[in-house]
Amino acid sequence: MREEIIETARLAQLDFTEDELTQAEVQLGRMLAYVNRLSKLPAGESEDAPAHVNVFREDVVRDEGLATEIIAGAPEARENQFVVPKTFANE
Amino acid sequence: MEKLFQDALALSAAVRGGEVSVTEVVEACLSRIEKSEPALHGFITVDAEGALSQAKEMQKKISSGEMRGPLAGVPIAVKDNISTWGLRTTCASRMLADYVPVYDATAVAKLRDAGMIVIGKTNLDEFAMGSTTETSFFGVMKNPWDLSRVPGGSSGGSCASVAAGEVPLALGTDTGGSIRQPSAFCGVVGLKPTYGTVSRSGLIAYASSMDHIGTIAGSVRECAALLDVIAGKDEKDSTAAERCKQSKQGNAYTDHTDNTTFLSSTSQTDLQGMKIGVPQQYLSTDVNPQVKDAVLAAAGALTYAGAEVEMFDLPMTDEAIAAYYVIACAEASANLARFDGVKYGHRAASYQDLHEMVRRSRSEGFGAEVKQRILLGTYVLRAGFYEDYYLKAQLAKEQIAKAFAEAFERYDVILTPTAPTTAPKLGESLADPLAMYLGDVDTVAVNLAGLPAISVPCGLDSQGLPIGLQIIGNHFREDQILRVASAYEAIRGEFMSPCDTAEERPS
Repeated sequence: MREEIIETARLAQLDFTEDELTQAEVQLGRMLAYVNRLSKLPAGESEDAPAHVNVFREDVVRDEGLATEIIAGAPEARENQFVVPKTFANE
Repeated sequence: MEKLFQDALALSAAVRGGEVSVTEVVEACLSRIEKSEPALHGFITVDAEGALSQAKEMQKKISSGEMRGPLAGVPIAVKDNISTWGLRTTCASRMLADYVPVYDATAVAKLRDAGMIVIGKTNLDEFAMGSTTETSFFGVMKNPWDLSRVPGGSSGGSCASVAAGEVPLALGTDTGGSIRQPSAFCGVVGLKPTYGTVSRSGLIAYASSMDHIGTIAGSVRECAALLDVIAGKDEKDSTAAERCKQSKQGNAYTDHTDNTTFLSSTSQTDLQGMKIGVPQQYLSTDVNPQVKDAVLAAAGALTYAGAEVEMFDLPMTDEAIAAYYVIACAEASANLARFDGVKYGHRAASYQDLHEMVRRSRSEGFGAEVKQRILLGTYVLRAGFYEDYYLKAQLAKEQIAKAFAEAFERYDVILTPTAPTTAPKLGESLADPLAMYLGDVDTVAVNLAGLPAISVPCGLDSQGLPIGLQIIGNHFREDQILRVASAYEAIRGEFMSPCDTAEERPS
């Protein structure tokens, strides 16, 4: 289970300390055991799935004039752009 | 002024009649907040300066006759996961501790259009994930009825601030009971509308398919009037529908535009011809006997107003919590993936590369409960587990909706407790998260089915803590739950406030 939690945390882009991992092992284990009651439901789609209707509108480009304000809220910005660490390694 | 604060509609009428100015109302509200906050901690941000400047602007519009809605000039508190332009919106998380939105949520814009004054942002469980308001990064808050107890959650701040008389009205959000359960614990009225009645644009998402914005007030009438303000279609949220009544013929739904106000539904307190069902499963042995007695007494009282009340079997109740937590956490894991320390929110101070920056920022920014829910959500969506958990939960959700649909063929509304207990002591719930999740048993199925429901106080337990009665309606039939809730309120009479002394409480 611990290995699965470590892999799941990696997928969720979260670091867990040893203590948090131990706690997660207990909590996730209990939750999954509880949730297992759903396994007795038959597999497959329900025949009575409600009918959903798509709602469309015209895709119109609009300038809200907020670019500067939005970028001002970023943790790090330069020349009206978001700053991120290098995305590609040099290998 | 003291008396006016007991009724938002009367308060607005007094403002519009020139008996009192908007500035005087806002000042009175701020001084109430200042007095109660040290003990309560219902607010994360109080915007005194902004509220006073809004007051001046609104006064002009009210005096000139431009603004004449039934809630014009009334101050309101907004839960801190609903975006407010220029006013910090934190979700009670370190992740968004300094986040200032550059737009208003549609519901907030509608408050402003109706002449209401946003006075501040209320405390909640971090990202609305909790049932006690104890996971807030900005500190634990208390229940005004008993400061050693939780106010419930996650809209604990909104409900407690209304209960304590800090504000006459508040907006909350409800994904699995987060308006109704704290309303029950704090002795106020809380309404979660049908999914689609109120736009979610600007609500910071937890579980998009079950998130709702709703209203909190001291009475059913005030809740209805506030819902009139915030409801309606919105091009920014494709799930927000025209205010309508739906009727089902075979598998097809027909919409009828409904021009009556929610407020007008509350004046119809005669329940002649109305059929009310009480599901046995919601009054099982796990329910506190005092809660059960209060709900049955309320059901009995409704027969005096002319309603026909009977017990019935509502299947799939047992599966609701499991389905809810699987779907809510799955959606949360996707929704909260946006917090990566790039465009807004917390960014870690040191890192080697992009991946480490994202991981560290998220791990530092999110609290323990949020991390656990993201973990569960990511797990149930993983290849190999998806079919066993997420797909089964979706199937359960459909069957729960079907069970309710069948019940609504026989009944106009369904009556249950809002929560199986009254407010627990601080610290009791977090020790056992699964037990806390199980406490949501009365509310989560309603979110899975997208139905409207209201919680109305229906008595006090032997410790003097409020008990909530939940009235559930069919899709877009807010009018019916408001009608039944008003009828019940009329029979029950004035409900106590936590400020009343113990001697004044009914036995």
